[in-house]
Parts: sequence; C-alpha cells; structure tokens
Amino acid sequence: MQIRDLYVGVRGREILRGINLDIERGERHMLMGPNASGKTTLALAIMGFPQFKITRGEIIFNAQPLNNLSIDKRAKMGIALAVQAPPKVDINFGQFINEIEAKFGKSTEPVEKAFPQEVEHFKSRNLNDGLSGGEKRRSELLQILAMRPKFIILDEIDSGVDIDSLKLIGEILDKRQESMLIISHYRHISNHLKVDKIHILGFGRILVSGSSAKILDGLERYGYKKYLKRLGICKECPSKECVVVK
Amino acid sequence: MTFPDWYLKQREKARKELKFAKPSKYGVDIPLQDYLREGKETGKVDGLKKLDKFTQERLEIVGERADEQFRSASYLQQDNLVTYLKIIKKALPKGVVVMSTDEAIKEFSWLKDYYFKIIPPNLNKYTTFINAYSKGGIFVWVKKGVSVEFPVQACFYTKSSNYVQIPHNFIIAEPYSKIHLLSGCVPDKKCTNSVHIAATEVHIKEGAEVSFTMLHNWNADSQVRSNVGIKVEKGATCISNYLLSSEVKNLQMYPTAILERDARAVFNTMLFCCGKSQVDAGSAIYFNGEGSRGEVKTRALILDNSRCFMRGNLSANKKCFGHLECRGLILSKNALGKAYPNLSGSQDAELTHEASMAKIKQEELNYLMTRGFSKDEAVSLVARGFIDLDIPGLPPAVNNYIKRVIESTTKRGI
Repeated sequence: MQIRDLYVGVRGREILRGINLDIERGERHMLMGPNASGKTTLALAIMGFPQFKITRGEIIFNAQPLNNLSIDKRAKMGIALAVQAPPKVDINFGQFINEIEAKFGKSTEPVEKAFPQEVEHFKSRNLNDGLSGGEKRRSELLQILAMRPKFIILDEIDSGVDIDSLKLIGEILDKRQESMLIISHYRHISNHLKVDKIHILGFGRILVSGSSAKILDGLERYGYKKYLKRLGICKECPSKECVVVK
Repeated sequence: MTFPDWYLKQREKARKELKFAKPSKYGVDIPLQDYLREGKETGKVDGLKKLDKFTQERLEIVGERADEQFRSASYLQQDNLVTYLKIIKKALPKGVVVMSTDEAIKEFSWLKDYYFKIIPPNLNKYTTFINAYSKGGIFVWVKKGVSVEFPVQACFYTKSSNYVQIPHNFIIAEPYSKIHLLSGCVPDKKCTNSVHIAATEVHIKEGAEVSFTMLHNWNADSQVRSNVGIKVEKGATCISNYLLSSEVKNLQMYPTAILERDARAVFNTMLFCCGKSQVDAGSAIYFNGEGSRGEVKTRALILDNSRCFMRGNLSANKKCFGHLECRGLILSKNALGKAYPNLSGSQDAELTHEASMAKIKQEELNYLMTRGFSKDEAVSLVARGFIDLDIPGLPPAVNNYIKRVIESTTKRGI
C-alpha cells in the first residue's frame, strides 16, 4: 500500500493534507493520533467511501491506483476494513458470513475457529443488532477474516474491548500474514500484536514515524500535545518534514 | 350425501342479502357480478408429480411440494374443484381429518356451530358473497391431544380467466393438539383477470397450537380479498405467517385474532409490493383474556409504482402484552407506503408499537460494500434480510424464488 501526498476533504473541509505512507507486504503499521486528527478519514479514504473526496495525491495498492475505484472493487482487491461504528443492518449474521464466503471462497481456516462461541451467539442475530462494544469488534473481525483479505485496516479494534478479549484479538491477528494498518488511541494491542511501525497523525499529516517503542513510551508519558512539542511540533509551528524516531 | 338444510337456507339468505351488502372498509371495490363462478372442467389429478412441469413450478413457489416430502397431507383445488386430496399415512396420525369443506359440511352436522362464527358473515360484501356462493376450501380437524409434525399443504390454483375462486377454509384444533397448515394461492400464468375471495376460520381450543402459513403469488391483474378470523382459547397459540411474493392488481386482507386467557398470537406478514400493485394488508389482535400476549409484525418492500398500506390494530381490555411493528422499505421514487398502527388498551394493558417507512440508508450500503458486495448486491441483501421470515417447513424452492425475485426487481428499483 502506497499513499502519496494525499489530500482528503469532507463536505468541503480539508481533513488530510499531504499524507505519505508506505506499507510493505506483511508489514503492520500502527496509526495513532488525538481525536479528530483524521485517522478514520484516512481509513475510509483508503476504502473509497464517496463522501471522503480525494483532492490531491493517490493511493496505490498492489501497483494499482485506487482513487477511482468503488468501495466493493477495493474490497475485492483484498482490502478489508473493520469499521469503528458498524451500522445495524437487517441481515442475519450467519447468512451474511455465508454470503461473504460464497464471494471470496471459503477459507481453509474457518472463521468460526477464531471465535467459536461468538459465531454461535451471533448466528441467530441480525448484523450489529444489540451487540456490546466488544461484540461489535469481534463481529467485524469475523467478517473481514471471512473475506480472506490481503490488507487489513482496523479502526479502533481495541475500543470497548475488555482485557481478555483484547489479548485474544491481538493473538489472532498476530498469527496472520496480511499487511495491517492498526488505528488506535492506546498501545495495549501492541502488547499482543507485533507492530513494525508507529505513526502519529496530526494537523492532517503524519507528524511522527518510527519503529521504536519510544514513541509509545513518549505518548504515554507526556500525552500528544507535550510529546509533539518536545519533538518540535506544534499547531503554530508544524514541521514540514515527518519526524523519524529511531 | 347432500348439503344440510341449515347450510342451504343460510346460502339462500346470503344471496338475497348480497344486493344490499356493505362494501369493504378497505381496498378498492371489486364488481363481483362481472366474474364467472363456474370454472373450467378439470379432471381429478392422480398425484402432484403427474401435473405438468409448468404447473408444478407454479405450485412450488407457494410452498407446495410435488414430492410430498415433509408433508402430512396434500390438497389441491383448481378453480372450484378439489382435484387432489391425499393423506400421507406415515406422516398424518390418526385423529386428524383433512377433507374439502363442502364434504365436511355434509358429513359433520356440528360444523354449523363453527360456520361463520368468527368472521361475521355480513362483515362486508365479500364475506356475504362467500356465504352465498363458496365452493371448496380445506377442512382440517385435529382431535384432542394429537400433534402433527409435518405441515398439511393446500394449494388454491386458478386456471380460468375472468373467474372468481371462493373457498371457505376451516382449521379446528381440539384441546392440546398441534398442526401446521401451509396454504398457497397461485393462478396459472395464462389465467387473466382472476379474483380470489376466501374466508378462513381458525378455532384453536385450550392449549392447542396452530401454525398457519399462507403464501400468495399472483398475476399482475389478479384481485384478492382474504378474510381470516382466528379464535385462540385459553393457553392456546396461533402463529400466522403470510408472504406476498409477486405483483397483484389489488389485495386486501386483515386477519384478526381474538385471544382468551393466557393465549398467544403472532402475525408475521411479509409483503413484496412491486409493479402497479395496490396492497392493503395488516393484522389485528383483540386481547380479551388476562395474560394474553400478541405480536403483529408487518414488513413491506415497496417498489416501482406500487402502493402499500400497512395496518395493525391491538385492542385490549385485560392485563396483557402486545407489540405491533409496521415497517416499509421503499426502493423506488414512485412507490408509496403508508403505515396505520392503532393501539387501544385499558390501564392494565401493555401495548407498544413501532412504525417506519424509509429507504435503505447509504451508510448501510457503504458498509456492505466494504465486504465486497456491489451496490446492487447490497440492496438485494438488505431487501432479503428485511423480509426474511424464517418460516419452518418452507421448501428451498420458495426461498430461492424469493431470492431470485428480489435480485431481479431491486435492481430496477435503485
């Protein structure tokens, strides 16, 4: 996945201003950033949600430009998104998983194996109907695994999830070979899921990148504002170059 | 055997009253005098598999299995005539009587006490018309404590054009018995300008359970009036499922259940309104017994230039619990849906309702598209999920047919 100088606007308001990001095959990148910094906007722009208009730059996946492709075409190319707030849909969950499997071919590793109890529990229910926060995350994960994806975007997969479930989700994902973009506010999932690179998004750009846990330590110790300031980045003086933390 | 005097007199009286019968409260008026009451002469059928392939396919889409697997009895009425009636001995236990209503009237004098005792015969001109001229209809009588595992299947097939089919059906479930009637109504594809006017009276006695599934698939110029009355006695259960799976010129039905103490009724109505259909459908429950419970759930997919009026009425005068749901999903600009939920209850009654009339949200479509489904496929998935009834005993042919119809029609609705 290559993102080049990406500008994205929503209803005429520019949210992302010059995102550059390279995620190699099999790599896992963690994207962090304060509220409203544009993390979800980036995820939905990669997926092709029409209300997120790309005004400049491009997104390339497997050497193919995505800018003009519809959501479903991107999904068929192997991009799978676990959304943060999935809507309730009048479709039986079990039937929906069957439909996904019919489209993408049944995986040799059945999705039920990931969360056997959940699959049974969800089967009789409609999609995202009456699910708790943690259940919604597991439901999302089951759906995207059924898609046999190549590139997974996890938008706050750790939100509203208890410690045990987070461990389980992390361990399941850690065994996967797919490339991943993990969007999160917290470092906890990285305790169970090995991450190759960490990025901090702010002011519409990637401000900080690195493979070091120092970023996570710094964030935890100082919070976004102070940590960025320590690196010489602030709203009034946004550095033009991304700071690389080694 | 001949018809008893009470029956002949009642018919004679109804024929005189017909001139003055009041029109139905709902639905457009059908000039019944313009339609033939005598159909084509049709010989008896040796077996459903002996029917030509085309007719078998028509029967299949309203749930009738030609192989009769997972069925306890089969009934086929073509126009006026009962052309096939088979008891599957292995599946139908002793203590169950399945026959045509005309024969039952001749054989059981006590049927007088059930005849038009739930549906008022002078409710409107259609009920008066049935009282005056009914022909055929299925009669199912389950004796005390007898439980039937597989459904009894009944099919009402119209072959003649400009013809009115007038069956009067009965289900009488004695105390603690259990039965499922799967009834399908379908005209021949070549049949034009047909009318189907039916009455179904369901008596469910103490502790008994009746499931009544009605599947309708009409021609675009068919007109339908279905009158269903259900009496659910103490501790008994009624589960009524209805599916309209085709275009119809106009259709009106308002099945009504009267619940006694601790009785329960569930109405699931799924309407597929397309083309120029004018559909006026819903259900009503009268909670007359303490501790009674009931649920009315009506869902409609409304597209093309169709008009769909969904009605629901819960009326209670005792401590009870009832819920009413009317939901329409509008898939075309020119389609129109209206919901009329009505609740009336005393202080002890707990009655709730929800009604909605909406199009598919873009948010839902985008979400499904993230799973690799095109917009057309996503609409079809939502539409199928929306009217998914999960009726037990339906052959895969029905579900496949619904899937096919929705896939082909939702595309033009987007």
